[in-house]
Amino acid sequence: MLKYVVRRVLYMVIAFLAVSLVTYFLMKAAPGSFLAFNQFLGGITAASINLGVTQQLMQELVKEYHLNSPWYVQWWSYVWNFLSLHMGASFEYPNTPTLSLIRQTFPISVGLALMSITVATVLSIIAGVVAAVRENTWVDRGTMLVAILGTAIPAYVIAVFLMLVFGVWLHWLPVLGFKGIQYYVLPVLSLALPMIGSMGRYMRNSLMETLHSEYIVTVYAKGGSLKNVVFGHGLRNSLLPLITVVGPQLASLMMGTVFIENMFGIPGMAHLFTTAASMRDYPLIMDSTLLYALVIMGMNLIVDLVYGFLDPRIRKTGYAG
Amino acid sequence: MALKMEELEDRQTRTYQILSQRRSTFALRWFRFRKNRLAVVGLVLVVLLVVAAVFAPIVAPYSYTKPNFLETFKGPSARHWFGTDSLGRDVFSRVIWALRSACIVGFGAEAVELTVGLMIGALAGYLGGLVDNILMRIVDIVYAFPSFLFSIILVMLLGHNIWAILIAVSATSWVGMARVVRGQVMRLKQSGFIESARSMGAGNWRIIRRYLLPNSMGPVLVAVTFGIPANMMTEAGLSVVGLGIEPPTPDLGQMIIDGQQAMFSYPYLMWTPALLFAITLISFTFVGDGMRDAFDMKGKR
Repeated sequence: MLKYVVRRVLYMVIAFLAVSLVTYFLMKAAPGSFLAFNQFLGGITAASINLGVTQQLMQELVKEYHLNSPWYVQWWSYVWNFLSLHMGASFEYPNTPTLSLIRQTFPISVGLALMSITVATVLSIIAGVVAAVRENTWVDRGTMLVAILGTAIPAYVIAVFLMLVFGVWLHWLPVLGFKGIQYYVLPVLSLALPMIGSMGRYMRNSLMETLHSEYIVTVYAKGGSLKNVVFGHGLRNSLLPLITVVGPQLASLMMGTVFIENMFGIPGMAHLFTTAASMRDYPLIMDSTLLYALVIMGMNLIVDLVYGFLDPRIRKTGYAG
Repeated sequence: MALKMEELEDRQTRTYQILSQRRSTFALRWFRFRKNRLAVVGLVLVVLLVVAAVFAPIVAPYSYTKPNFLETFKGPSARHWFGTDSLGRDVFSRVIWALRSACIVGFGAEAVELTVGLMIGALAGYLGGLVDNILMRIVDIVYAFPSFLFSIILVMLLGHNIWAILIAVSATSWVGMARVVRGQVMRLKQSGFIESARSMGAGNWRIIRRYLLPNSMGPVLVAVTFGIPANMMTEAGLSVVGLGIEPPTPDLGQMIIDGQQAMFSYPYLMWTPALLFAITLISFTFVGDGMRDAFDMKGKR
C-alpha cells in the first residue's frame, strides 16, 4: 500500500510539472500579449490610462516575472512563486497580488461545489430508496428516467430551465448575483442534478440487491418491517461504496462551476479564470490553472486511495480488474 | 391480457435464441438494440437532427446572419417557428445552423480522439513493456490535466474559429479512448485465435489490424457514442463562458447566453436553443445505452 501511495504521489508531481510547463508554453504562444491588449483598450477608452505610470508599471512587472530572462527561469519563477505562496501581482490588477484574488474567489467556488455534492448525495439516496422500494412500478421507472436525463444534460442547460421556471415564471428565486442564501439555490441545484443519475442508479441497484437477498427474508420472518430493512440493512451496506461513484464526479463538478459561475454571475474562481483568459493576464491564468490542477489531482488521489482501501485488487496494479 | 404478454415475451425469447444460434452477429446486435425502445427513439432523433444539420442550407428557411430590424423580438409564429431575436434574425434557422456547428465539433473531435486513441491504445496494449509504460504515463499525465481550462487556453492560442475549437476539444479527451482500447487489446492479446494467427506467421501490424481492432470494436463504438455529446457539451460550454465560436456563426451555447440577456421579456430566446440542445444530447445518450445493450456490456460506460 505504501509503495502504491508513493508511486501515485510521484506521478502527481510529474503531472503537475507537466501541466505547468504546457500551460506556460501555450500561454506564451497565444497571440496577443497583455501589454498590447491593454494599450489597445487604452487607445479606445483613454480613461484612467496615464501612459507614464503604465510604462513604469510594465517595467516593474517585467522585472517581477523575469520577462526578459530565458524561458526556464520564467517558468520556474511562476511555479516556485505558486508553491511558496508568493504569487505576484496580476497584470490586470497590479495592486492586488494573485494570492489575495484567489483567496477571495476560491472559497466561493469550493463552497458551491461542496454544497452541490451534499445536495446531490442526499437527493440520490432519496431517489434510490424510492425507486428500489417501488421496484418496477412507474415510480421506479420515472425516477430512473429523470435521473438518466439529468446525467445526459450538462449543468448549464439544466440551469436554463431552472432559471426560467423558478426565476422568470414563478418569481421564487433570484437568477443573477450573489448576495444571500437564496442566491445559492439555483446554482447548487444546477450542479447537483446532473450528478444524481449515476449515484441514484447505484443506490437503487445496490439497495435492490439487499432487498432480494436471503437474509432479508429472515428479517421479515422475525417480524421486521420494510423500514427496518431499508434503513437498518440496505443503506448501511450501500453508503460506503457510494464514494466510488461520487469520486469521479468531483473533478467534473469543479469544471461545472466554471459554467455556472459565469451564468449566474457568481464572483468565484472560475469567473476569475475566464476573465483572466480573455485579458491575457498570464500570472493569473498560470496560478489559477495550477491551483485547479492541484485540486483535481489531489481529489483524484484521495479517491484512488479510498478505492485502494475498499478494493484490494487496485493496490497492486493501480487499475481495477 | 396477461397471457398475451407472456406469449409475446416467450416469442421474443425464442426469436432471440434462434438469432443467437443462426444469424450473423450484426443481426443479433441489431435485435438487442431494438429491444431498448428509448434507444430506437434516440436513433431516429439523432438521424433527424444530423440530417437537419448537414442540410442546414436547405432546411433553414432564412439566413442566419441577415438582420431584419422591422421584425425584432417576434414571438413564435407560423412564419418564424421559434420567433426572431434582437436583430430580427429567424431563431429556427439559427438553431439549425448552430446544430451544424455542434455536429462538426462533436463528430470531428471524436474522429480525432478515435484516431489518436486507437493508435496509442493499440500500441501500448499490444507491445506492452517499456512502450506501454511510457505511453500510459503520458496518458496518466494528460488525464490529470484540468481539461476544460486546458481547452480554454488552447482556444486562446488557436483562435475562435470552429477548427481551433475542434482541436481544443479533442486535445485532452483522447486519453479515455486510449485507455478503453488498451484494455481491450490487453484482454484479447492472450486469447487463442491471436496466438494461432501469430503461429501462422502474421506480423504485428497484421494482427493489430485484422484481429485486434475489429474484435475490440464494441466498447470503442460505445465510447464514441458517448463521446460525441460530451464534445458538443464542451463546445457549447466554451461559448457559455464567452470563449467559443465567434459570432455571427450561430452556436447553441452562445444563443443560450444571448437569450439570457432578455430572458424576462423574451424567454423563448433562451429555452428554444437549450431545449434543442438537451434533446440532442439525450438522444445520443439513449443511442449509447442501446449500443451498450447491443454489445452486451451492461453497466459499463
